[in-house]
Amino acid sequence: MLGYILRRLVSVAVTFIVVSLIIFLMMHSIPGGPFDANDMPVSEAVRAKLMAQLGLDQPLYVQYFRYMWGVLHFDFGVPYQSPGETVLQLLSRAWVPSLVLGGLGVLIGAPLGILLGMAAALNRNSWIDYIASALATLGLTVPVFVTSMLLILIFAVWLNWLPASGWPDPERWILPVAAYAAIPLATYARYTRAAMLDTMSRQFVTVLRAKGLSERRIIFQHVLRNSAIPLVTVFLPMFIGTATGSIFVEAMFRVPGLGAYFVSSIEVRDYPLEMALMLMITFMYCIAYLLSDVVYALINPRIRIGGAE
Amino acid sequence: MTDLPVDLPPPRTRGPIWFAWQRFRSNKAAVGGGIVLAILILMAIFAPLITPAPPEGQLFLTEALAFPSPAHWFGVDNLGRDFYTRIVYGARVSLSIGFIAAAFSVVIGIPLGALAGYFGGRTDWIIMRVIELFSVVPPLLAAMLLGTLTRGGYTTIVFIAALFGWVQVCLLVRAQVKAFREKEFVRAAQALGASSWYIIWRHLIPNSVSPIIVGFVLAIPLAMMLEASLSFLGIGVPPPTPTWGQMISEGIDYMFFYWHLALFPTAALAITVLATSLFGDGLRDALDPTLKGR
Amino acid sequence: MPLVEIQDLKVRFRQYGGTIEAVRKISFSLDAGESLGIVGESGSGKSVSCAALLRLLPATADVTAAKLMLDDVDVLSARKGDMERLRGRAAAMIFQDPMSAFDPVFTIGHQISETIRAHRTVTKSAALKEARELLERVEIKNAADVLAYYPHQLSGGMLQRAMIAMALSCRPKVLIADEPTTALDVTIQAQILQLIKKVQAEFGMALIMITHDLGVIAETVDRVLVMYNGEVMEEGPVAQIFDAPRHDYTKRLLASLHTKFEPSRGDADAAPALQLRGLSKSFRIRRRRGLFTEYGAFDAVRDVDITLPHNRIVAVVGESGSGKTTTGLMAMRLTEASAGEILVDGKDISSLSPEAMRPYRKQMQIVFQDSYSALDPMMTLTEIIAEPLVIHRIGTPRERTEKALAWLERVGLDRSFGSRYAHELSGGQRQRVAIARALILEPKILVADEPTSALDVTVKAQIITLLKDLQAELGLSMLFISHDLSTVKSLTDSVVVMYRGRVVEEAPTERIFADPRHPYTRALLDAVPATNPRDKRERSFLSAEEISAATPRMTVIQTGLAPHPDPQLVTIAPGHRVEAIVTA
Repeated sequence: MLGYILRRLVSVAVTFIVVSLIIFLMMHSIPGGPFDANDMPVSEAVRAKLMAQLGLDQPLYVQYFRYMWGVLHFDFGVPYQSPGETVLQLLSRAWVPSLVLGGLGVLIGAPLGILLGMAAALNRNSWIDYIASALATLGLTVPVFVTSMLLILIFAVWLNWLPASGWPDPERWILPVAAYAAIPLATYARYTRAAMLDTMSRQFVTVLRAKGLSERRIIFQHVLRNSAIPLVTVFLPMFIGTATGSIFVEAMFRVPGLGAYFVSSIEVRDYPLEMALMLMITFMYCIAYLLSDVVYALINPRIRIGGAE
Repeated sequence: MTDLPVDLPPPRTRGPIWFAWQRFRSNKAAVGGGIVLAILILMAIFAPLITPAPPEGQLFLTEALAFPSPAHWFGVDNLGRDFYTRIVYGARVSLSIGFIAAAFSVVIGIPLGALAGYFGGRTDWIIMRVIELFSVVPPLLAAMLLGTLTRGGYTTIVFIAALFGWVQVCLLVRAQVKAFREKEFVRAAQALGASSWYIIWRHLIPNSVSPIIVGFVLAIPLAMMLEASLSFLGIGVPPPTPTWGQMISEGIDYMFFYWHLALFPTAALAITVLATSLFGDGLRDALDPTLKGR
Repeated sequence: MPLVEIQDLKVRFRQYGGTIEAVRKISFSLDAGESLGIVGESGSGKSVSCAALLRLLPATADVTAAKLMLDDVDVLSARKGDMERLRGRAAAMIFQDPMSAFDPVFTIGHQISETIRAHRTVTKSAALKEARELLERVEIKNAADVLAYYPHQLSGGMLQRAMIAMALSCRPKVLIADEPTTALDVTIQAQILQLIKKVQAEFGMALIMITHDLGVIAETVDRVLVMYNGEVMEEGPVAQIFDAPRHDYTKRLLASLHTKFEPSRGDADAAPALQLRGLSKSFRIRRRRGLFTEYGAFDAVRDVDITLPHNRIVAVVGESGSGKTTTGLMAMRLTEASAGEILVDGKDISSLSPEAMRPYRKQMQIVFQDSYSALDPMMTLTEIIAEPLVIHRIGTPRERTEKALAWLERVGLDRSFGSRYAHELSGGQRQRVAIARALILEPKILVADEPTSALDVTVKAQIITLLKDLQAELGLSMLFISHDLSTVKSLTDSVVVMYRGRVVEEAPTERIFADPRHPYTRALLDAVPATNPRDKRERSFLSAEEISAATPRMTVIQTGLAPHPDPQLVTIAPGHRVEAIVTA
């Protein structure tokens, strides 16, 4: 088991390095930097000095290694858009709203999604199944800003129950949390339903019935336990959805979180901040991958005990 | 030949296509999605015939920001353009990007998926590692990055959407080819001395039509979503071309008083994406019952 | 009062607006302690009837009956809770595939004790203790360990034993066995059948044995129900069914057990068509150790010599894992051999390039086991049969089609089938098409890899007859890979027995059946189900250790070979070789 985790760690690390390299090259190879003649009319000498100061005159690979060396020491440089602080300081300020709202969204959405998926699977082809499927498709395919917009139009504009901006007071959190929750809810509802239906069609369920076990015991012990295994793999898509959703949720509800900074850093070509955000997100994915693989291996006796290879 | 007691020739039995059609037909959501999608496609094609004004003409400046009325079904926008016209023309952008990007996804995904699935080993390893790279970078973020770096535009968006859309097609084709590579008719062709190319081209790709169709249809909403998101952030298709994402983004500023500017593009995008996804999901369940819920 | 009473049972499945009739009006009854066999081909409705008895059918099934009683309970009107009490206690079931019959995420011990606790109030540890005793009664030696095992850690035979133990756990009055041995190897199959008979007697249960295999029926039951297409064709005591069948279908079924063929006309001593010399295959297996990977070798086939004379049929027999299929694939060069030579008419083809192989590909062909996946579902039958001509660029498209249609007739199908697709055919018809494709180039050598094991008995006999006729007509040299010894006995000229990747015995067919020398060959022959209830017999089974301990020993004087601690093939009569340990 330890060996398995170590092997996954190595492969995740390699993926991370390759992605960081690609992002780095992409950002530096396309013409137009932050001190483009068009964007910032300064004299040639001043620009050269600025470039030298920021290390932008060095060959690319030197810049990359220098940068990654810094990253290892949590030094992501200074953001262009707010030169008074380091990237790390800016991020440590910005992650609070994102984590609070996103975390609440997942904590509320995921259990609701699992319950909804179970209800749908147990009452197949009933109205609850149709509603669950519709909600799941809606949450998974329609962009978050559309869901957010609908929430705002209904609850803030027409009913006037809740404020349309989502920070800082807790009552303002309701709408953004609801928007965030849409993704885990949809993901878990869909996968729980599929996993349970798949399990219920397996032969061993017939055997359990033939043994005279009660339907309740079959569902709550055997079917749920078997369905839980594939559900672990859902963790990742849900995570991806929630993290990318943050950009739009924060833009819609004017929340000063990571997503908002991502948007502004892209608008003003703030290399250090952009790079730091992309690296962080990629890093979180790698960890999410690793976690879901390890948990999957832990709860699946076929992998945990082996002997089936 | 001796007279063998041959079992009776069966009546023409129902084929897989008939069963797929029955499965599809019994899925009301998918049928509904298909019908809505068909209507949307017709609207996009015949846009000039069903709209009262050109999409970019500021013909109604005096009535700017007017609410929906019999003359202007969806009202008038801030620049005096008929909003219904704008929404209908928005379907052109959304759908055409969706279909073109999906087509490119299929064109890239089929050969890569077939190669990975058939040859396995190192080829498969390399292609799967590339896919793994794509999977740790969320498409939307990467698309945003690419979008800013290239300053958006129609072709760029198609390119970006195809860049992330092929992964799904590739995985579907790979899984199918992998399963069929072990089938005995492939073994039989190998035993006859057929080359790998012959087997891939003559046997494996024709047997992958179901996943290819499914991959194509499911790549459409992905591309549409990408376009809308980028346009929403102002790095998609530039104005004055009407796109829903752009309209939603502008609508935010007006939503408290002129809610129609926010509602109609939002609803149009939601309905289109939803209809396409439901149609695609239905096709997948109908064509390949084993893929259900993936 | 009979234990089971079924009158006018009908089962229909609703599907896409239409209905499929699976069972049309059948009636039978079963008394306590009685053994009833239900025999029929796939789709005959035999399993569906018994599932209906326990109300295990899916919601899409419509079940109607004048009477459907199990242990004095009316199954059709029983409440859910009563049904749950009935299942497992009045009737318990064992299923075909033990691998998918257990929940993969719980231990064997948990699954057996949970059954006990569902029906009786006992503590967990008492239930586990009982589970252990049950495992011992089904002859599982390390019962205490098996309790803690997950299903994937056990072999198919062991799992089926555990399944039987689980079925016994509530002392059922009737045991319903639904094809309990179909997924198992012959020797294991015989052991499981014997075990079922033993526990039936010990527990005083009634037995319903559902099977497609007349041999299983002959071995286990007193009374037989023959089903075909959802109806009962014939019913009677087992001896009567075998000795004096009345219905045509039953006669056909029985006739398929006793097919006889002319021996081949080939000469065993002439130059062989195909010769395998020292053929071996070892697979690399990866063992993970922390960050590193170690490679071990698994020898699937070790040093196999097989000679296939012109115009003869040589059988390769063995159980799953014996390496017989791998050997066939290596001979065809569909799997690369790790070592050894493949001589076709004296020329070694084992290292020819794909280009250089092409002329040989025309001379040797293969027919596979699974007729479902043997035909490309996207091609018409004409396209499938003509494919070899396309690959070898023979003839014009029109000539190819004409030739394909001619072959369609030759394998006993109408020309009108040419434009059909594989899914429109039955299993036997598909296998005919596969044979036509293999033979259209008129090869000299045919490898038939279990060509009939997936087919129903009556169809199986037809396909074997077809193969034999074509063999004689074309003068084919055929390597017939099979685990079905009764077919081998009637069809082939000589037999090669494989066990754990090695050839352990080789002899002319008559001789090997009359005078088997190797303990494994004997075990294999002993396990063949009887073809008549009168031939029922007690069997003794050997474990792997016992087989290796019983390997024949011979002296240097007897064999003229040097002494060696490892077993080697020794010639003991013309054409008869057996693996033995040569001692001084």
